[in-house]
Amino acid sequence: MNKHCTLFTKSILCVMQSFLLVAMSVILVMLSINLRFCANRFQSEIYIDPFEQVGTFEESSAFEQIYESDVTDLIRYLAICEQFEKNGVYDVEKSIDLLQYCNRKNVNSDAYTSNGELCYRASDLVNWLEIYGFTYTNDLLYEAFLPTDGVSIYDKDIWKLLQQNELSQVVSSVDSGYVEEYGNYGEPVYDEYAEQEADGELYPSVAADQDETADQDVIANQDETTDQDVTESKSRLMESGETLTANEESTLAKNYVEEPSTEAVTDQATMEEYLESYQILYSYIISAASDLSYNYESYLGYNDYYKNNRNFKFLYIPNGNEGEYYTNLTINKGENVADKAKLFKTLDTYAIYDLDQFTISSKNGKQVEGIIRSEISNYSYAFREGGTFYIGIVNEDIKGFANYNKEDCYAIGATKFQLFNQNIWNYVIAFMAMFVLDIILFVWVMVLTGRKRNQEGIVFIWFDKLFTEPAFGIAVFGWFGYLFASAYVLENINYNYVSQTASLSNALLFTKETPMVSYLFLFAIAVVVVIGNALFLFFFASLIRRIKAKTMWSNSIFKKAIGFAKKIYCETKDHSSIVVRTWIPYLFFLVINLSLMFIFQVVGIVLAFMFDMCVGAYLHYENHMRARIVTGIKKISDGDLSYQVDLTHIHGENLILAESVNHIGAGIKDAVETSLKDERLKADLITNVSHDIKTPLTSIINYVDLLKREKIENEKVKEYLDVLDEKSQRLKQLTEDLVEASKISSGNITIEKEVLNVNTLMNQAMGEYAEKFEKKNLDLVVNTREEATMISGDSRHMWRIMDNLLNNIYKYALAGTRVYVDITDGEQFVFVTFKNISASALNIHADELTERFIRGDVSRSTEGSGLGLSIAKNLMEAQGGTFTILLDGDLFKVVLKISK
Amino acid sequence: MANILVCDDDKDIVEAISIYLTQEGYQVIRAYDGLEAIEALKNNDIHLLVIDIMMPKLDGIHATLKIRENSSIPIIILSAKSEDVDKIMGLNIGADDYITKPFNPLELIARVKSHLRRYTKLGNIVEETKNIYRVAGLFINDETKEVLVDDEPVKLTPIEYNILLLLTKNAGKVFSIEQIYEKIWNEEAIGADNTVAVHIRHIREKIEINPKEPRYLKVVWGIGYKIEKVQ
Repeated sequence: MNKHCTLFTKSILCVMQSFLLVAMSVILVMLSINLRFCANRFQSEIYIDPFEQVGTFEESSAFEQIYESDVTDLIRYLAICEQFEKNGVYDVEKSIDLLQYCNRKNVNSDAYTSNGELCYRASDLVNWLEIYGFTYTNDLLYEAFLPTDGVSIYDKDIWKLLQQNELSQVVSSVDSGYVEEYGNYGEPVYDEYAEQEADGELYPSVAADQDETADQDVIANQDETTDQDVTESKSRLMESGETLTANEESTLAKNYVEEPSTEAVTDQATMEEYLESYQILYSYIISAASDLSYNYESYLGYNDYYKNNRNFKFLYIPNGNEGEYYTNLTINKGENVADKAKLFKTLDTYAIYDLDQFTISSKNGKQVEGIIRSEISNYSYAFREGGTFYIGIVNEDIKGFANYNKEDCYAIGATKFQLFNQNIWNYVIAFMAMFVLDIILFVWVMVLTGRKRNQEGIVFIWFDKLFTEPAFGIAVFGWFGYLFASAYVLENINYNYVSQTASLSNALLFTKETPMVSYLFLFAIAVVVVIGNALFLFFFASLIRRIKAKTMWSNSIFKKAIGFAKKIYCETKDHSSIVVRTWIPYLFFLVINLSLMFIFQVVGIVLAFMFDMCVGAYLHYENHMRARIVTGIKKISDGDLSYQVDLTHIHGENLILAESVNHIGAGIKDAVETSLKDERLKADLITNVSHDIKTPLTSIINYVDLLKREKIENEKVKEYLDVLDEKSQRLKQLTEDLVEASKISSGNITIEKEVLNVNTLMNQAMGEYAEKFEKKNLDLVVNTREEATMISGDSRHMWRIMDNLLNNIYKYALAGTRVYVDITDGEQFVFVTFKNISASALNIHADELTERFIRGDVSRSTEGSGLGLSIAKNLMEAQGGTFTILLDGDLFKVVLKISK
Repeated sequence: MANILVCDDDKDIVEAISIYLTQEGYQVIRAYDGLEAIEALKNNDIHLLVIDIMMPKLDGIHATLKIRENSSIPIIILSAKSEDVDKIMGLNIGADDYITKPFNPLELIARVKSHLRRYTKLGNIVEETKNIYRVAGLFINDETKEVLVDDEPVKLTPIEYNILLLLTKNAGKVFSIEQIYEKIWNEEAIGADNTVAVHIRHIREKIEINPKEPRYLKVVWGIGYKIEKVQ
């Protein structure tokens, strides 16, 4: 396997992973688009619940939704049909009783008892609305009222009435005045007029004022305007002269009929009433016209929808007129409607409502029954005749009844239901499997990333070498930017092409009819997913590599910035004068504190407190470090020369201090070690030399002794032999002392301390020297306490000290003098003082006496090695005591300080 | 007479020692290194060995070790090495005595005599009489008030005799100056007095070969005196 193999593996993994993602997104997109489809004529979206637990489409909620909206619409449609149709065909001549129509929803039964006094043609009303709009003018109504050639008025009685009672004149005078004004001034005048109307009082007076003056003008105007209008709109005012029942809205008719006298017209009260009635009529016409206009549009829409080979079938056979029915079934001549009606019962889904007996028989979709009832009662005015109402849904071709329409929403719904609801778990399982596999592949890629065959550690690409923050920014902005951009593009594609052209029916069902855009859309999604995934993998792998190589923090700008700031801070701190170092941070501290408090007030105090705490912690830290250094210095000065101050976390001035302390410690340690080593070498040298000296010395001593044993007559020879004997003995003593002194000064002795009585020691020593002292006539005076004076020391070394001291006194004290020994007991120490008068003048410094080979007499002629005091001093110090020599003239004084 | 093997690489020293020992009536056999000493031991009936440590071929320590494998004769090491460590080592590996150079010939002879006596005679003498005390070469007969050191009579004053007797009777026990004073003089000790110390010094001078390095009467500095208990 070469190193390309790993790259190959990674590529394969990535491709597989991308492929899985594409497959997953295709599933998701397909489901999300295909689960919706369009139903009914308003193109409202129906959603197929993929997890609904039903067996067939007919039981699903989607089906129910379509079915119910179809039924609701249908009933409305039928109600409208009643207004426009006759025998199932649109009838221009179909007339509507205005009064009845406007009160059609009124439950009051009186409202229905109109006998068609105010009958208008529905088509006319719709036309009027279309032409005049009825938006803000009411003048047109009058024009419509006014007959020019009698064509527009059905009812002659009203016409007569109007003519006889000059009603038209009065009305038209009001109207024409307005028209005139309208003509001259336009809208503002109308506004004024409307205000007057609102006042209610001005209106009649205005009308009265204009009574006489406007006669002829009005006629002329009317002639012109109505001529035009009537011819254009073919509008017709339908009115009957019959008496209306005594309800408020019918006053208009009453006025027309019951008060036709001229007196009534001239009478102001009657005039007001009359105008009021007129207004009501006018409002009726407006509302009826707008209703009808709306209905007419709906009618056209419904017609289009229901008659266009829907799978939704209906048949309504009203009572009364034989052969009248409403249906979207194709009924050829000679076919019996009743036979067709029977076929409804063979459908899988149907509902039959007997309006006479209020019974419903239905199959599938029980809720529909309630809807039928409620809707029919809503439009009860349209179903007043009673009859039977059939609806049903075809789901296959039924001979003699209907052909199954595969393009219909029921058919589409059924197909989609079959595809998605019934198979949803296949999709889910496939999706989940792909998801899991995808995750595994993803993790695998992430584990492999950064590794390279034959190469240690994590291998970086250029992107990984960027600083962490910009890389992170690029990754986040790049990826999310890409996501938003692609989402925008996809949405546009979806909106502009897929939804518009294909979403409604078989958007992505992949039938032969599937539009190309659907494939394109899917392809676009695949491309988006592949690129997005590639980007994500790239960025995420980089992140993983960074984590693996632990460069997240070390390679970050933030860290670099901190390091830089730290460096600058330390440099200014370390290399500036004390004033700068002390006062600048302090002023800085002060300014921050004060500005925080002044700017942010209460919050500032909290912030300042936090800041102060930080500063306090920093000071504490610095002092902590300093304490470490102080400890180090103490240890070193106490003799622990190998102690080193721990330098971790110490910086700045403290670091310099700590390093210096360490250097000093190390230096001292080196010096001490060197000197100890030198001493030891010296001691070794002296020991070895003394061994070499001793051997010949032994022969000398022995042969001198042998010579002395010979019988020698010559006195001179005897004298010479004595000299030889004496000097050889001295040489022996000298060698021994030399070895001893070097051993002691190099610390090469062992000390075994025990509790001793100085008095006894002194007695014993005096015992040893009693005769010697007597010989020299030295009087030894010992001053001590009666009780034992205990010390702690090595008995042999203590004896050696006494021995040397007494020997020294014996040798150098002036003969015939007194020697004093004082023993005093202190708290921690016992002091033993030896005092004697020196035989010769002591013209040297006291310290020099304890230095080796120095003796009181510079001539060095007397016996002794000159090492006695030196040895004694070293031994005393080795036992933790001191040995001090004081010289006062000829008084030679030695003070021993011995620890208890 | 006893045969003594003297072994030292310095022929003059061997010669000097030979002169001293011959004067005392001993037969001296000479050797100049450790190997020769071992060889001489095999070929002669040797009663005592005086051996140096620092010698060519085989040093005194190894020679002593070798000899001690099959001989129990007294061995006296005679060496220029005077450190305690050397002495302790020499005695530990089987030597009976350790004399440092330069040595006092009389001391050497005295020690040789002492060791020979112990080696040749003492083992056989059985003297279980009352009032007779013996510590190594020190012999006191309280009946006759006789003191012998290595069979040599020693003359002591009555006080000296009493002190020595007291210490010998209680060999190994340390007596302070006050105790000794009270026992011998039957008086209470008074302060600083060196009487006892002076007497002790006199006794040491009489019974010890080298009074500065006593074998019997030891000074425990700062505490008192005792007779070393030796078997």
